[in-house]
Amino acid sequence: MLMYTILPIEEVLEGWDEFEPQYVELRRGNITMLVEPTGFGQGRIVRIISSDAASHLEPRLQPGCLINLVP
Amino acid sequence: MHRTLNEGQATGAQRMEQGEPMVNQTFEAMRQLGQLAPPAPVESNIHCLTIVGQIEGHVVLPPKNKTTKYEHVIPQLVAIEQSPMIEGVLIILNTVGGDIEAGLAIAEMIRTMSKPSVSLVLGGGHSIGIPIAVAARYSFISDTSTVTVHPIRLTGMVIGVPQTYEYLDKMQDRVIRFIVSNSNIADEKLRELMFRTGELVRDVGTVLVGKEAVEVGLMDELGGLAQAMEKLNALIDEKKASEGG
Repeated sequence: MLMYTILPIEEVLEGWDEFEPQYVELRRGNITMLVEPTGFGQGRIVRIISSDAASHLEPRLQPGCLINLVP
Repeated sequence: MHRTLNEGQATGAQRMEQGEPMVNQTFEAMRQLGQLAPPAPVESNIHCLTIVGQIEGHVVLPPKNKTTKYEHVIPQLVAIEQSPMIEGVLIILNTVGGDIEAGLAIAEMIRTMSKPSVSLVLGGGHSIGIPIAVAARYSFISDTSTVTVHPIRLTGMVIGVPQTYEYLDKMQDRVIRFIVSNSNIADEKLRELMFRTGELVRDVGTVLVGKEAVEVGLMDELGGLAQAMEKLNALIDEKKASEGG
């Protein structure tokens, strides 16, 4: 990893040793996504895994959107 | 009155099931809460891509960082290129830089799009943000924005052999080559700005504020949102005319 940034690298990587995100894989229709559970049966979308380009512009499935883990 | 409210909720839930966009649910909720009526959503032929914070590459950065992830941006650019509804892209940049590979990947995607693109640097477009800004067909910088041009640094464990420096030089060169071939700045001028001493407190490099970035040829024009939109619409019209004629 080569970083080209004005921020000092120590600042960028601060807290990396405590940072362990847990993701679950979820499938809705033809779209597979990585979701970070936030509790109450919901999760926050982290990444959309789909070869259909249009699914990346779907407003309900943007990274950061909340989604019910059980359909 | 009570009945109407319930009916309203039912339609909202039904819509959610039918998979209508989230935005409609928000409007529905706002309407039911008696808030001010939001403006009706307008179908736009322009998509806006915001590149903020750190550009995240192959390593997930700790949550303290605000990041733009290349794996989100790249498929969106593909979708934009493919969509018959979208005619142009506006790229808004306020970034401190980030991963070289990810930044150059985004920049290459923007540069090789067939649809018109205009970039607008607000706040700051530093380090790897520069290739992304110049990758667009036309670039704007706002009056108060800054662009920091500085050399790439090696961090972590560095093996003190000449090859390490050759590698770093190679990485440096590919960024410089991209910037030079996509803007009006000359190679020598960019290198001079990059290795200038006395400008930055603890580093070599130069901070260019608004107009200075235009004067050295890095950015195309000084401007804001209105100018950027106007230029994008002009580029779209130009493309339509060339296709029609």
